[in-house]
Amino acid sequence: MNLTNTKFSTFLKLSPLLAFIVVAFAPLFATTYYLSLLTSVLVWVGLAISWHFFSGTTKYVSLGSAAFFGIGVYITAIFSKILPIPLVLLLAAAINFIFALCVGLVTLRLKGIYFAILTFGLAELLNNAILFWEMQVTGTRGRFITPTDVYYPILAITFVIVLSTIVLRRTKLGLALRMIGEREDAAIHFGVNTTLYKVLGFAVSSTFIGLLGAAFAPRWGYIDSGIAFNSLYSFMPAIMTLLGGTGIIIGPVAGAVVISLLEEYLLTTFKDYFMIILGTIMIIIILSLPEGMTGKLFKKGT
Amino acid sequence: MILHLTLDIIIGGAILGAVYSLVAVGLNVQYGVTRILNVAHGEFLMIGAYLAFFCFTLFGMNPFASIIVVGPFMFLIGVLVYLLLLRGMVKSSRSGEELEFRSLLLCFGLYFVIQNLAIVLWTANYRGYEAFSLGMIDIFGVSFEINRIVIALISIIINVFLYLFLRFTKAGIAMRATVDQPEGAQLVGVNIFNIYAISFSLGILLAAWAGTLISVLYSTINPFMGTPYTLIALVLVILAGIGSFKGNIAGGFVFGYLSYITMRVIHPALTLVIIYAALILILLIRPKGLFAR
Repeated sequence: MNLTNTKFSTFLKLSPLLAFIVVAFAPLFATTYYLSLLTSVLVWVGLAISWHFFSGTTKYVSLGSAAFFGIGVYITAIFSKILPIPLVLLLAAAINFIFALCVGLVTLRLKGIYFAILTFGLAELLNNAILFWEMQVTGTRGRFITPTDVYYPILAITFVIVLSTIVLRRTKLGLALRMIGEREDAAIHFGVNTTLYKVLGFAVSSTFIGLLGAAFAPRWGYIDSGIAFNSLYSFMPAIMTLLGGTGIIIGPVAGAVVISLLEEYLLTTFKDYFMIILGTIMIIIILSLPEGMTGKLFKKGT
Repeated sequence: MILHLTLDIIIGGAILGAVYSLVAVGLNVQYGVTRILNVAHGEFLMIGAYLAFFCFTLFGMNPFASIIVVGPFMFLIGVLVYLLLLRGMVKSSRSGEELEFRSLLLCFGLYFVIQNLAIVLWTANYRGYEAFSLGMIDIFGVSFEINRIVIALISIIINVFLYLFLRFTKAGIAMRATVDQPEGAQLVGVNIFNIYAISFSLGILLAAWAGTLISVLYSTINPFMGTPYTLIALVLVILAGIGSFKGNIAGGFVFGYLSYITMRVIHPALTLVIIYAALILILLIRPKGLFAR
């Protein structure tokens, strides 16, 4: 944060833009494989930034990203046959925003681990509830989505996420969220309506996540609740941010790029042992980067 | 017919409640004392189930008897996990919050590693084993497997012994002191780092015992069986209030009845949904849990 006025910081601020220019023209020269890899990386980058926007800043650790991602996926699955894609995305954003407002109002009164567990359970709850609904009411397990090219929608949404988090950081909302992360009781003393900003911040972050889910869904062609609400979407963003570091936006971006490329490499090279190795790497990251990365998350002592 | 169902619910719910309270008590001890939220709880439960399965299929050991083998073995595993992975974290964390968050992520890593190791080692297939059946018992016209009643009784016995351990032994008293006041406990000469190791390992042992009993209860095991129990245990720990032993028992029965009623009257697939909805409601009214002090 003390880098604000240096040239390095200017470079950091411009680098997303540079990266986007390269990425925007990727379909012209990249092969299908690399393009699909790039799509996944972009989704993870978007997820990590969205997660960092609320949880990384306020330290209210949400493990419920999968809930919002899954809602986005299901909205596409249901509405993509009757509505054009931009309208579907708008709908996904609206529904996720409202849903996240409700969830935030209920859960953000709880501190720390309670919030983490409740949000984690939320994804499982939706997973179970939707599976039940599909089996009992619609009589199928999953749904088919007409596969379309998702590259540019994903790119556009990730771009919007990056831009809005940079802009929002300077607004009242961004400042309030940072203050809540530093010292919530002090923020209250300064007359910051912490509940309002926490709920709003959570809703914005969740809307982004839901948008990514909605835009990514056509990649699968077929989805069920297990795919849409996969718990990987809940804590990979947390792990990525943890690896990359919090405070500046480049942290989650770097973490997301590194881990998603690593994931791809492991998945293609050691298919059966993929999750074991990924889990081990997760453990090693958490054990070996206590000060550098999480140290920032928890700067204050209690 | 109504009477029949009522009786079924009263006894079936009690059996489930006893098992749930055993599933959760390990996590409650672990989290209450160490602040390590072990989300791999269900995976240790699953290992307990597999150990009982192998004890039975390889050595013909009665699953109830294998508790004696499984317990100490898993306690040692717990000590190993604690020393290798968690001790450094406990010592280097500057605040309870930081430890909570870091250990939570570490345990997620453990969850992946253990579950997928189990898939690689033991395949993802369901394995069934009919250890033995004690037949059925008829209670006022409703029949229950005696197995289930025995399992409920053993769960309660383990809980009682744990209660006595926490209440009267030196280690137990030190553990309770650490829950209430870590600094205070250190001041009066408790080595809280040893207490952390013991509590964590005790939690693993209790999870494995619950797994052994559950494997007999449902006669099938697979590498994914643990995850729903992790959720139930998490929910129960929150509901009961951290470090509250009585709350844990009471909460176990509340949720035991709730899920049994859901299973019998509404639909089995909705059990987790109902439990979770109940948790949200409860937290709205009492943010620190029903039985928090």
